[in-house]
Amino acid sequence: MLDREVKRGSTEVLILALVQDRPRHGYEIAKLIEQRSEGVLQFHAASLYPLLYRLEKRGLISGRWIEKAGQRRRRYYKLSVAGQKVLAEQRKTWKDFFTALDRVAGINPA
Amino acid sequence: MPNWDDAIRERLAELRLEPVRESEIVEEWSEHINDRYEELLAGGATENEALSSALVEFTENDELIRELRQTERVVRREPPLLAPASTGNMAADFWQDFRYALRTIGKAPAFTGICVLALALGIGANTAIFTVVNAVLLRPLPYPESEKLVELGRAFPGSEFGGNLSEPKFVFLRDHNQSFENLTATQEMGSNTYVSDDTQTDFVQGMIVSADFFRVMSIAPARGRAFTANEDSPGGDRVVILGDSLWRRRFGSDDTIIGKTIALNGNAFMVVGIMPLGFEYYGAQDVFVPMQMNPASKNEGHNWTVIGRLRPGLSAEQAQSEAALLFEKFRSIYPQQVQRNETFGARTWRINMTGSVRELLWILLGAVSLVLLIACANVANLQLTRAAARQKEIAIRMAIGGGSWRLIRQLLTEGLVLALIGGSGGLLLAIWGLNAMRQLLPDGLIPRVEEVSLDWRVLIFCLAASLLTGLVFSLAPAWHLLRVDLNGALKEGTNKTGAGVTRGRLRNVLVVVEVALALALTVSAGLMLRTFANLRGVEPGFATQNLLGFEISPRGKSYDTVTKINGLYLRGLERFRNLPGVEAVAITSKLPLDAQFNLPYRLRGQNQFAGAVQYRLITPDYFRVMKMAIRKGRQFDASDSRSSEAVAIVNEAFAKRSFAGGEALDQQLCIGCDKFDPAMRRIVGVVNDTKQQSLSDISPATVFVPLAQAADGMSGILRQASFVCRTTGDPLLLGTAIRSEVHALDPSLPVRNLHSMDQLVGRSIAPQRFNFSLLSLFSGLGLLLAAVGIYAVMAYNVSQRTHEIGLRMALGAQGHQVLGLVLKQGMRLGLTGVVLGLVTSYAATRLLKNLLFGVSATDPVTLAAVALLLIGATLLACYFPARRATRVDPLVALRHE
Repeated sequence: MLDREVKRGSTEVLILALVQDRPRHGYEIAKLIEQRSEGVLQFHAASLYPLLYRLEKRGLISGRWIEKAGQRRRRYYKLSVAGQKVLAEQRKTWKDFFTALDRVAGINPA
Repeated sequence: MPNWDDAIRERLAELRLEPVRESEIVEEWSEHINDRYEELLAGGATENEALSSALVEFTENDELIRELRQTERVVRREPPLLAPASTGNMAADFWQDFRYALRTIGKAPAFTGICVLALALGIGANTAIFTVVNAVLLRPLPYPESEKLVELGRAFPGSEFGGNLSEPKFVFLRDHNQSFENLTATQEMGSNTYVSDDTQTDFVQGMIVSADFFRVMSIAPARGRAFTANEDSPGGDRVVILGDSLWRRRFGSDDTIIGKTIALNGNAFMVVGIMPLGFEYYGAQDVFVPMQMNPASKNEGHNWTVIGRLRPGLSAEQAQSEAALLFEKFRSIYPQQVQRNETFGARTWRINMTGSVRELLWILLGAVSLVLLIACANVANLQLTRAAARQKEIAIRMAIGGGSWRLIRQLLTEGLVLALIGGSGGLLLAIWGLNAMRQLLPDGLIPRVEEVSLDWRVLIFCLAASLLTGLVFSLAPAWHLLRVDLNGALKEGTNKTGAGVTRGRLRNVLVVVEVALALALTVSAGLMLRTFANLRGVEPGFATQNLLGFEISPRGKSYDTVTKINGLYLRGLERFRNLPGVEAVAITSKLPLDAQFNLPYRLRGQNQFAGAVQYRLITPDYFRVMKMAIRKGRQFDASDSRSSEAVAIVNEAFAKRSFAGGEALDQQLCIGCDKFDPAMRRIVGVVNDTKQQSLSDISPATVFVPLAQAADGMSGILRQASFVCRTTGDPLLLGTAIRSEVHALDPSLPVRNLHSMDQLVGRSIAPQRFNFSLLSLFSGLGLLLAAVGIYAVMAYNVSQRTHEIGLRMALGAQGHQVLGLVLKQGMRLGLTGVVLGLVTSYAATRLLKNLLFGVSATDPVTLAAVALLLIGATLLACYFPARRATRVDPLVALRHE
């Protein structure tokens, strides 16, 4: 299980990256994180929804109610223009961090 | 699908979220839990296992609520209305209410902030204007028993009293009156008055006064003495009394200066006294010299301000009656010295001095009162909204026996505290505003402006305005409280009850009143704008661009005759003409739109003076430089010299006045022939009219005389003559070149009053610009407050109608239909206000008619334009709440009551 603090620091970039391609609802985001991380990262409601609401308040993502045919309506989140910028910055920061880790401690993320 | 909502709501209850937000979260989590539930079912869990596992993530997790508490805004509950029970002691009760009011206000910072800002703006503007009204109109003049000081002057039926007296008239009044203890005559010494010694020359302000001046003002010199009767006689000693400021700054507060001589206008005067610190008479005067008038004087120049101190027990009206009688006596003895409708007038000096701005100041005070009323209406509306939120609680309190008077007392205390905070802010705003106003005030517009300052009257006004305002805007919720229907208020859906409906009606009335008042204010500003624009469009009679004026004020022995002064001026003309950038130069004894100078004149064949007209000495190029038009005859030229025929040119106004349609050319007149210039002059030309006093006054009749033919007695007038240059570019760029040419001409000569004619024109319409600026500021404030008021009411109405709007949209109403619904409601209020405002304006703007030029007080174009502006502002203020209404989520709205 990943250290709590490391998880905390990375959740923002995870969510921003996942909604970059297309809008997603909360359950979908949680499931995708679990699947793509092969179970290493699991987001429960306690972490997920407060973070989604915080990101929405900061204007990095925007939420909309969408009703698809045959379904009840759900709240979908997508990346905003401001969010694009922040995501790009955070990706660079993490890349630099891993490069430094590799140089010092031989940890290769590839 | 199982119903997860109740469980989620129960979990969220402790966060006390806004109902709409809570509904959204419940819906979102419900779907998430359902997906999880179905995933678990698909994975083989039993129904019970799936139910509890799906829910547990949300309902058993304290961290979720903790995190959410930080993220979500919590609804503020209104603090309970009632303070602890009455102590029975009124003072203690009041103190309790006061502290409670402070706490209540502190808990709603946004609400308090908006109220305080609106009140500060309204009270501040009123305090600022009242400060000016107080200093100019209300405060007594700074002389002992100043209400006994009465000004005497010429009066004509139907026109403003005012106007100076001549020496013979002053002597007659002084010797024959019974109403006054003493009478004095005073006259300014002229802008060329100077004090000099070997090293330094200072231009000073001086007053010529008769010996009784000090008795009339009831002020004695602080050092030395006043003038004696001998010193005030013709041929008396040359003596002077110094002002305190000049004594300090130029003579270093020298105690031994009494008895010494100083050089005043190049002559030796002995100092006999120093006036007290701070003494002012039409401003701070540096020197006083005795009048030394011949009691048998026949000088008919009306140049003397005459002031008298009433005998005890007499009034200004009684003095006026006596003056009128005395005038008839004077007329019977000296019929040639009076005009047809002339009489004497006597008015309290303070009233006379401030008469010109009295109307303007009261109008301004009226205008700012409207701003305060609008602010009051706004705050009353906000108070009503707040009362609506607390309604159920109020009803409960009253139902369990909390007396309505106790509640009202608390509401009033809250209102008064808000108003006092707003008033304090307003006082600061007033101080700042007054400083700004002093910078922007045109010179001479407001008499006694140097006395404008905060005093106890202003502070009391500010306090009274604050208290009254607090009472007024608290009345609305207080009155409403008395009419609350307890049963209705206690039920759910409170705004469909009588209480909610009455309150809604009251709010609508307040908004309509705000719009009406804002319209009246804006119409006033609009009329001022048109006045100002009309004035700017007035043709002054000459081309104002690229024209530079300045004086060189020759004085002393080198320039003590007309011949010497003229010689200097001609040399100056040569120099300035040759400067690069100068097309042409001329000289005039007085520029247009500057001060005026008139002399009595007589046509050939007349025994009596036909009146007084403007008199100007000019060089031949003058009309060319000013680009004025010769209508008939010719200009002056080099042949019009001292030894050639005496000639004159008149303007069209003079020709019309004197020859009524007949030919003016070759007629003959003498002007100033009693004292200055006996020559009978032949009129050789007629020129177009130019404005003199102001752009709004008609052009006065004017006679032009060649400078070369100036009579010997004209040296005083000649010294104040102006050079006027037509330049190719910006005239002010020539300042340095002019100064060095003047220095080369004679290093002792100053360059004074250097300005472009455009600046002079600007100065002449500065009062109208000032009026327009102030009224626009007030109307802008009023408009802003009214718009905020409409917005607040509409926003509140939309929030109250959320359920209804949700229902409509669920039943198929489109966004634009909802928009239309809300806009219609708002525009109904706005249009009612506009109509009411138009009616009010039609009646009220008549008060402005004396300030207007070229536009009537009920000008339909202005009324229509302002009405459209207000309608537009109302539309804008309604638009945002209306747009928000279209974004109401029907499902959320329907769930939320």
